[in-house]
Amino acid sequence: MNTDTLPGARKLALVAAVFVLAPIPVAGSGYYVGVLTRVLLFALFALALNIVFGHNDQLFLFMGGLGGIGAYTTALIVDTVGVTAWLALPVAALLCGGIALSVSWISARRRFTVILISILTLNLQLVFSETFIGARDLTGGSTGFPYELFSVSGVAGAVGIPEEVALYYLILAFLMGGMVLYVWLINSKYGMAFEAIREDETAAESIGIDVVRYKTIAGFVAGVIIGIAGTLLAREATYITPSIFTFLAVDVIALVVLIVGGIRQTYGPIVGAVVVEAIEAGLSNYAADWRAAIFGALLIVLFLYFRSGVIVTVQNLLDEYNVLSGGGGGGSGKTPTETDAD
Amino acid sequence: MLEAANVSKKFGGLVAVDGVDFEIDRGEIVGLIGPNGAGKTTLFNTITGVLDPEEGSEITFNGENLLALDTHEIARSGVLRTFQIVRVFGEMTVLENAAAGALFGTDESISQAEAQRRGREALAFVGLEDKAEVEARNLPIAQQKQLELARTVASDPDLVLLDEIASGLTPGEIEELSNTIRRLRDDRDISVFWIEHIMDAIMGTADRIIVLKSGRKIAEGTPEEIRNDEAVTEAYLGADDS
Repeated sequence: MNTDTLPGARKLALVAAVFVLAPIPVAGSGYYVGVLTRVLLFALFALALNIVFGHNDQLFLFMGGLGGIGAYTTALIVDTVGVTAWLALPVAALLCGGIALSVSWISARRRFTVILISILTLNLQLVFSETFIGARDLTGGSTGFPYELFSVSGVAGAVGIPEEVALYYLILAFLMGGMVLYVWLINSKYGMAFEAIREDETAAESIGIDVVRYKTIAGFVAGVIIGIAGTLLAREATYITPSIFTFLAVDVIALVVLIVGGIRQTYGPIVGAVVVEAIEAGLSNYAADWRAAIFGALLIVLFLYFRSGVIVTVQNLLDEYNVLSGGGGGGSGKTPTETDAD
Repeated sequence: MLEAANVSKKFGGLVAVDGVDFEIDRGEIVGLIGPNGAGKTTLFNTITGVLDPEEGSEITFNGENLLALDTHEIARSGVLRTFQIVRVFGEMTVLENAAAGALFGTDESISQAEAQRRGREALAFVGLEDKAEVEARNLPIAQQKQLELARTVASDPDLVLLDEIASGLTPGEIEELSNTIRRLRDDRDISVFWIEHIMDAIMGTADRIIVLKSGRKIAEGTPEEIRNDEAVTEAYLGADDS
């Protein structure tokens, strides 16, 4: 059975099924399909961040910039070489992977702390953002250009679904591919090395783990995923401008999504993206003027009471509830809460 | 097997290790003693590539120049260590710790199942097999030290460097540990280079003892010779008096 090769394959299939069915009740509404699509996109960004930051302590704060490089590069290759976006995307993603790989390699060689890596990447983010605005010949400057690569209208027409729903399924396929890659990676030799390095770099080296190599691999994988996510983000917007790829628009949201969902949790990025996008959508519908303020306040509450992420907190609550209803000792119900506090 | 010549290490103006020569042969248990600050751990750190020694230092292992290798490469070439302040992977289980040692401490490409098997065997060797599923941070320190030893054993090393592995143990535990260390050599063909402050443990187990003081080697010989060495007695009494 495939559960042997991929732990938790059934759960993953179940989650995939839920997302496959999700657009059906709202298929008529482009708005809600758009919200669902953003859930997928930010789950994908957060998944990349989970690998490189969650498991490798490399806080990448240039996800927006890197995603933008992916998106602009894909468009430029299509434009200049004349190939389809399907061929351009892998090249652009590899370019992003290469950039992230260099950052990780330099940081690991020079033993940068997580703070230094975040400062370095935040600087790169600002450079990339300015470049998108400044390189008008290539990017169209702040006014941008229409972005409708990856034509899905043919498929959508043939199956009889709206184009934005077809796009949703395309992005879902990428997210599920990312999830399979993540589960495989974390349960492989790489995952074990990541864990050892995260807990104690000196001890990891002392048992024969090439710390630089594994950190560089993590950076590369995250970079590729971020490049793809950025391209899809522009495609979802159907119009590319530098404002899509700013620090506030991508990095802050992806980081919040990951923390809210639960760092180093397989489903942390997905759960976090659902929670954050639901709050965002609810606020823009019912409290547009106060949206930013209330969003901020809710985040504070989430960080205070769901510090180890929604998943772990809910699991602990369920455990406690089971213990109570099962008549078990109160002491055992407390243990998981205590463990996750440190 | 391990040959070191003229090894020196300075920290700014302080000479921590000063022109030390020594050899460790296959099947030997060699003790390294000396007062606090004598440079024992610094010497370990130069052997394992954690610190780069000064120009002119030479350290080779089975003819291979260790100074040209990174820490992880030295581990893979068969020289493993434990730490003075214990460094297990606390959030991993005891078995995962040992399996990680097996998985990464060798140039062979082995499956995770095989790594677990070797990990289990190493745990049995030090007597931790019934703790396999416990999170490492929940072990008492003495057992964490044994786990560090198991983690090195799992990779089937040629030489292990033990840094004060007996400190904090009860006399009964020290006896048990000394037996384990003898079995490392007798059953596993692993040589041992052992820093220790607890004289009973090291005097009864080591074949040969090297004494450092202020970075210099002041004596070398069998435990009996070291016990009767005037320079050594003076070094220790002098340290006690100050």
